[in-house]
Amino acid sequence: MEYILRVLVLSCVYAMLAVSLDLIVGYVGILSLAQAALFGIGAYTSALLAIHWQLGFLSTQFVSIVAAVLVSGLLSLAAFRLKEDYLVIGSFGLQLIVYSGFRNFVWLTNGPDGVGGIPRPRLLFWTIESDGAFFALAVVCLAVSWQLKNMISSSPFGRVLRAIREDETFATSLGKNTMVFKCLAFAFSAGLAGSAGGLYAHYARFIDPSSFTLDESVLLISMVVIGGPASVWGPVAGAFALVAMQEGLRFIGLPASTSAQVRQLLYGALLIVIVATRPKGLVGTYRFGR
Amino acid sequence: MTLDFPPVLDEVKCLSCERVSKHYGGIAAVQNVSCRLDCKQIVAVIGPNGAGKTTLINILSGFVRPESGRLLLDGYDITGRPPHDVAVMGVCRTFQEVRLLREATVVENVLLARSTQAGESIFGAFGGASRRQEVENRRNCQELLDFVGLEGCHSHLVSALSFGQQKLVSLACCLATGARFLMLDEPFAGLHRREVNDVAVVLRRLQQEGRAILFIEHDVAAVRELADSVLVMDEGRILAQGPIDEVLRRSDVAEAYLA
Amino acid sequence: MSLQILFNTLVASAHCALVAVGFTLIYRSAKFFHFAHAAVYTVAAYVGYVFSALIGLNIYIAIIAAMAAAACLGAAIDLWIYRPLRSAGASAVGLLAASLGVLIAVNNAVSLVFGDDTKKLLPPDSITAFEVLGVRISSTRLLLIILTLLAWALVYLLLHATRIGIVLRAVASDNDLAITCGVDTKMASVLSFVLGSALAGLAGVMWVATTAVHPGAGFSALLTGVTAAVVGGGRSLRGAVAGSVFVSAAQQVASWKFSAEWQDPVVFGVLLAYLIVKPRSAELGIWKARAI
Repeated sequence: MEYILRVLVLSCVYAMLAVSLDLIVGYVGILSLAQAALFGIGAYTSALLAIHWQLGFLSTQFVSIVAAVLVSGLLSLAAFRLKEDYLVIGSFGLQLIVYSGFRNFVWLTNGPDGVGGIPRPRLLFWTIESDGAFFALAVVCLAVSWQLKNMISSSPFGRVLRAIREDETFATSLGKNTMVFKCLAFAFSAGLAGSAGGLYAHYARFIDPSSFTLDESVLLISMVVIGGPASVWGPVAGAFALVAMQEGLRFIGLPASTSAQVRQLLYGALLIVIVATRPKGLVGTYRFGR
Repeated sequence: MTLDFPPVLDEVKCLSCERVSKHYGGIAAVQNVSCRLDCKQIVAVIGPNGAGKTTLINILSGFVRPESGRLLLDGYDITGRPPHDVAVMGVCRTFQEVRLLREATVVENVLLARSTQAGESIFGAFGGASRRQEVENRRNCQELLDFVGLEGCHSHLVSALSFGQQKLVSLACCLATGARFLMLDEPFAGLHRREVNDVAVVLRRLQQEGRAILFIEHDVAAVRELADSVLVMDEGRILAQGPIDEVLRRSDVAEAYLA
Repeated sequence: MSLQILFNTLVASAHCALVAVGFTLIYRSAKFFHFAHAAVYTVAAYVGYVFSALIGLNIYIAIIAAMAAAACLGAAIDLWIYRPLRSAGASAVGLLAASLGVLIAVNNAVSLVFGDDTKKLLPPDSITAFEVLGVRISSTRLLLIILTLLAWALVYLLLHATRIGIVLRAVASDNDLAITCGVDTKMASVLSFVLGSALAGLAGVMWVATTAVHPGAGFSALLTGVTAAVVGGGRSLRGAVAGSVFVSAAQQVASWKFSAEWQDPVVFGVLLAYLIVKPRSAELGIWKARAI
């Protein structure tokens, strides 16, 4: 039972991340490689605030979101004026730099040893201790993220994002300042990722840089693409499916030392296969990359 | 004088460029061109391929910044303003290769074009006001589509329409932006005779409403029927300007076409 | 002290330039960012390691084997992944996603086979080092510089003095026009991948020779190489070389003034600064390419 709850909570966290990334990959149509870095920013921010200042959950969420949005602003500054190609490179650079920051700024993040002893989240007077209660919190957080993202994607703002994805020049000719739209979408996506990071930190109670690598960023892209980009349920489906696959591998009996690599090898291969043969993903309607 | 804020659309009367030039590599796309477009005017731009006609539209709509010369809106210098700003100021253009969202419906394309939607701000996306406005916008867009002659196609995908119908959708999008100055790049190319007439009727009505239209065209008949004045371009320069019959009688114009 | 930094910069520039020039060659032909270039680099490094440290052959054989492996892998990716995807109608975004998939899959395959720890090509005592003017020069570093110069000379000759070179340059400047003129663009594409990947392979194997390698090394090399290529203009080979010198110099100075951990952040800083300051010239902005 504990095991199942753990898998479900992880699935919720990944689903939040996939939902946030779908705004960028699915709606704006840009492959951002920095989502794991933003996830990590949220996680470390929440962890350090909770440990050193005993802040409550809502406060740590707020600051984590702000931190992630600020870091994403760095990328927005540079890349949004230019072609998508450069934006992907910029996100690649941001991911690597933030990751190396996690590893090297030992005075802040404890480097490769990670940050442990993160307390369970505190909502006003109530501390969420049990796994079951945490699962409820995770579901609520996922529901909130999911709802916010869908309100945006189905609004006229979302319509402009889709227009940017299809034909940015056309959108510009109609008077849309596409750079502002991209920056805002990216900031919103970063905020959701930061929030997921905070949730994760409180759940795992120990975080280290290995959870926020480039591989993780590509995994998130896979979840979005495989689940069905630019759709209401696609990112959630993709997240749950890939977490299930990961757990399924566990039952095959792979030694723990290699399971991570095998899993990621499969993600990489699956990404290629889906792009080639089923660009709508599992439950989507938009054909990605065509 | 630099403009800090766009002039009120209803009062804007004239879009013009003054001695603009633009080179690509060593080739002059546009050289020292000056022209003006006033409200209630229809101007046709004709000339052989490569004459610089599309570049002229790109400059007038802000998509290309001229190396020299100025772009003026009612005398205010708007040279170098980004194209989305120029569009908001009331200048809308279509593209030779018809740019639209192909996997979206006709009405979604026109809804996109509609200016000043509260729902387009990221915070407005959460308000109930944007939903109400959306309903009204949808009604307006459907009226616009009927105006250009596309009743019954509203929920078709753009990719399912004929080329001529797609051009009409582009035109509807331009109108949805509320633009005063419409610049159409080959609006009649690829259309049947009857479709050409339909579009011409729409353009005439727009002219009477007070809008200004500039269009690039190769179809001399359409030009003769619609245009008040004609701009002949060749190799980046303006060869002649004026009423169509006058211009076509000139020998250098005939030469540019036949040569 | 400063002469040592100069030499280190030279070494770093050579390594970076190999990656950058290879990447640019591929970009000019494929017209999207081939991220799997990092995977090719990594595989070559490990092939070199296998041939030299495991099997015990001499370093020159290891280098040739590594470059051959890299060239084959690059060509395989183009022929069996990118080309079928293009035929299926994939856009640049789709190809990019596939490239990422390849990168992750190959990297993890390497990690599975060899483990995550760092490997060295040659035992330290077999590398001779000597001092010139107070600068410590190791034989492998010197070899890197010499081989890089050789490689550039060959690439330059290939591009400017052979028919194949003309084909490659034609495809790079205007693909559609090249097709119209009857140029075999498919062959040119594979050739670009072979050439670009071979250069990356040389960089990879020399990196494991001069330093060490672990499965993630390709990422860092790619970031540095791509930054150099972008700063150099994105399409020019000479620009890629110039960019490499600039980026490597910045890295070495940061390394010296602060510490080695700052190398990657500095590279990103350079990239970021360039992208912010980059003049919005009509040729490079999106407006020209789409509106005309």
